[in-house]
Amino acid sequence: MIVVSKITKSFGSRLVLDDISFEARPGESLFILGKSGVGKSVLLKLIVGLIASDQGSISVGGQKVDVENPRLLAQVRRKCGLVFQFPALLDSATVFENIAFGLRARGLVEDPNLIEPRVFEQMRTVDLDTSFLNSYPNQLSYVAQKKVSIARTLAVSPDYLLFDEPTTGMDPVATAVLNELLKKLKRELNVTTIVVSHDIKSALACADRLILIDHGKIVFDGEPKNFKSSNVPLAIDFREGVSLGK
Amino acid sequence: MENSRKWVKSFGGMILLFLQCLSLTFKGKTRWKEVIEQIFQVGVRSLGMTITAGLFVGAIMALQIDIQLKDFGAESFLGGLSTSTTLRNVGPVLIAFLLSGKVGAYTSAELGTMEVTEQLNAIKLLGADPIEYIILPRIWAVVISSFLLLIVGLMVTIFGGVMFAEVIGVNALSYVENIPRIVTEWSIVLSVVKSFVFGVLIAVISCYKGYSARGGSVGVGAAVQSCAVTNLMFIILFDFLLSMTASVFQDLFGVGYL
Ligand SMILES: Nc1ncnc2c1ncn2[C@@H]1O[C@H](COP(=O)(O)OP(=O)(O)O)[C@@H](O)[C@H]1O
Ligand SMILES: [Mg+2]
Repeated sequence: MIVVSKITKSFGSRLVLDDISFEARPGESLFILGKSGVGKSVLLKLIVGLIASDQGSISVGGQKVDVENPRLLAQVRRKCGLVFQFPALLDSATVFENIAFGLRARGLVEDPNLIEPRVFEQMRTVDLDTSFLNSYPNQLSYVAQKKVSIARTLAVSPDYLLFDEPTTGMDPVATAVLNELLKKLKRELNVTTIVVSHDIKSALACADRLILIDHGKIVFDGEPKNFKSSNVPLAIDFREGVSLGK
Repeated sequence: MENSRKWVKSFGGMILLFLQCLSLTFKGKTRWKEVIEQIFQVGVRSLGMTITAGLFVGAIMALQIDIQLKDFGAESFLGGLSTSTTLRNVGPVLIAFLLSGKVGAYTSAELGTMEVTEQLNAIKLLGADPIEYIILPRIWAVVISSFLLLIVGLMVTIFGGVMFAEVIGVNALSYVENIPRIVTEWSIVLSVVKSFVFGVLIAVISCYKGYSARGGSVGVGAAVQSCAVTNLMFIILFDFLLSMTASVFQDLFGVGYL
């Protein structure tokens, strides 16, 4: 369970998140929607302790996220996997080394011979051509890079999976693969996932629950079926796919 | 006020990074295979440039000092004086400048890009320490390659002086013979110490500037710029400090000069 409690975060004089509270229950697939720039990426980075909040607290699996305490923070991070908004692949390493990175760094595989099958398995999971194994990230298309980035995170089998706009910039086939993957993770592995997105179609297809953020506040928190009938102006905008410039 | 705060923060950050890397090294965390790869990446590719520049620096020094010695009819001292000045000051500083341009810019731009594209954050989340994994091998690679390049550069500089002596009508043999009369082992010690210190400066400054880059490609640009300026400032500052120390040694113990 991830519990976010009364989180406030400003950059300089700009208040980005204003007293945000929510929780992601075990095995739940939670989608957080909001327009570009509302602080969705910031929220995910707060959860894994890459940045510190001004106020409030966050706990992951009962453990407090404390950026001042590197040892505890490392424990929290071991349970989490974050797929960044942009691929963030090590560009001096091959696709194989990128996907194997977390397995090695976290010491998850004792027998080095077992790393390769795990890497192949993840490549198949994200529908990535295994001929890319020894390519470098800059030789790959953006979509393929993003798939590598997802495979790299899945490889460490995290209990909590955080996705930052996984479908943004993806083609329709890759989006469908990803939506299937999200459903499968929930069905088979009971992974708790938080997906930050503005892809309302994916959200309605995969989410157990939806949260909508606007101007630093949560303006909607509920199931997809309630979202479809919500009167919140931003919910209507998202449903109709238009911004009325409000 | 804002500027001096930034400066103190960046100076403190560099010292901290240096100490962290020392402590990781003593804990045996350096991946030497990666260090050797990086030496090939940054070091070997700078060899040609260092040799070319070294030859010309040697020639310039011989030419300049010859002009001045002629006035006193003391041209027979050319070999010793120009080699001494080259070894103690001009050589290490000029070659360090060149390397800070080449190695420093490369390293700070590479690390800066890794930071702003979140590669370093990804490493942290996947369970590795970017300082140990990325910075430490680069620091050692830059220290070692700068040091080796400086030594090679200095030797080439001396060679450049000898060659150019012939061109300006000073017998090469007498030029060489004059060298040990003025250049002592202390000149060489000072030269080696300077080379090592400049190598450490370039390594730590370049890695720190890259690592602390923030805010997209603009941030990387600013980091590389600041890296270049900081490298030059610190090389000059430490050249002064080390030369002062050497002259104090000479006054106290009668060793260290000329
Ligand atoms: N490190 C940072 N320093 C300053 N401002 C930041 C930083 N990170 C994010 N911001 C600001 O916070 C706001 C939210 O950013 P972000 O979370 O990336 O938005 P999004 O919802 O599109 O993911 C933006 O206005 C951005 O400029
Ligand atoms: Mg974002």
